[in-house]
Amino acid sequence: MTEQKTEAEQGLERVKLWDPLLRVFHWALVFCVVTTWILGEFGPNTMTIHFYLGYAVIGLLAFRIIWGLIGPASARFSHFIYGPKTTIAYVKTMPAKKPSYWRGHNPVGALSVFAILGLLMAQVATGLFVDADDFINVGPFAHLLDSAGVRLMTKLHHQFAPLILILVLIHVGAIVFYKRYKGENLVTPMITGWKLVRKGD
Amino acid sequence: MRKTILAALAIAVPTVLFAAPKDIVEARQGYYKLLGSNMAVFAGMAKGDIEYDAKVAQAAADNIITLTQYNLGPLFAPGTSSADVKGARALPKIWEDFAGVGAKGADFRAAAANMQAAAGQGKGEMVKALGALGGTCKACHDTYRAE
Repeated sequence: MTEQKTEAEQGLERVKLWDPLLRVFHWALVFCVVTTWILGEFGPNTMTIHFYLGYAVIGLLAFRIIWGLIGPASARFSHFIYGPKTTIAYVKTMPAKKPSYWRGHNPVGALSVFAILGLLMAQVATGLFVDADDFINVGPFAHLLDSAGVRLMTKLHHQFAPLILILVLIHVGAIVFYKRYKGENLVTPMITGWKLVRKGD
Repeated sequence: MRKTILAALAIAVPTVLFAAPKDIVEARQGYYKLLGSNMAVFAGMAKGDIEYDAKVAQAAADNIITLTQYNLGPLFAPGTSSADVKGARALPKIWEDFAGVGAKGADFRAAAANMQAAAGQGKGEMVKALGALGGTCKACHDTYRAE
């Protein structure tokens, strides 16, 4: 006889939390954002690939908005918009060295999701209007604005880049925190879809 | 080479203000607008907005070469940086790093000479030269121009 309680006795169950499209979306977004960010900062002067990856991000974000409205439960925005009370209650549980067993995006993680999606939307939107005055890289809609507008968009597009880096680092940092400190692996569920969660949540 | 050194010296030697700082800034921006209007010919042809025409492309390249002969020293008189004049975008860094600016300028002149040789040789050649030439614009803007 073992001392350890079974998952069921602990009130836990293993469920298919993340659907296949959401998982493909997540890792495709990782690839596109990381690659286009690096190309933007350190890439060659001719930024054709940066542009194409940016367009891919637009498509991915459009999918995520649609999926947030009509997708499976854990992908829906309504499923992870939490009030301040729930959020504060969750924050209080964070120092505990045990897994959250949360079904979906937890209240704090949800803030990070909305922040990243919002900032990426702002980044792809401004990117369409950028003209860096180098006569090779011009956003497809830059001609619609006057020079002051284009300059503002270009400036914002450049200023958003470090913010994206910060949000991504916070996201990865949180994943490491959950794994190392709380003993909860959040990466595998985003690959296989399966996660151990509390029953009845 | 001699020209490069002379150009660098012309910028490096503190020049007497020949006009009000604001007027100098406007003249300087006018100089870059002239460059830009010729660059726009290549960009327009590259994108297909205007049809490639060897003669027109060659004229734009020759204009740019003419502009590279221009002594920019007076246009970069002290007291005309983005910190001194409202609307100016030339960062103060320029006046602290003439060697760096000169190197960017030399890259630009080399790419412009390359464009002069390529512009009339066909659209493909022109577009290739444009990538390199536009890159030298970008390289300098990234470092020395306020956003």
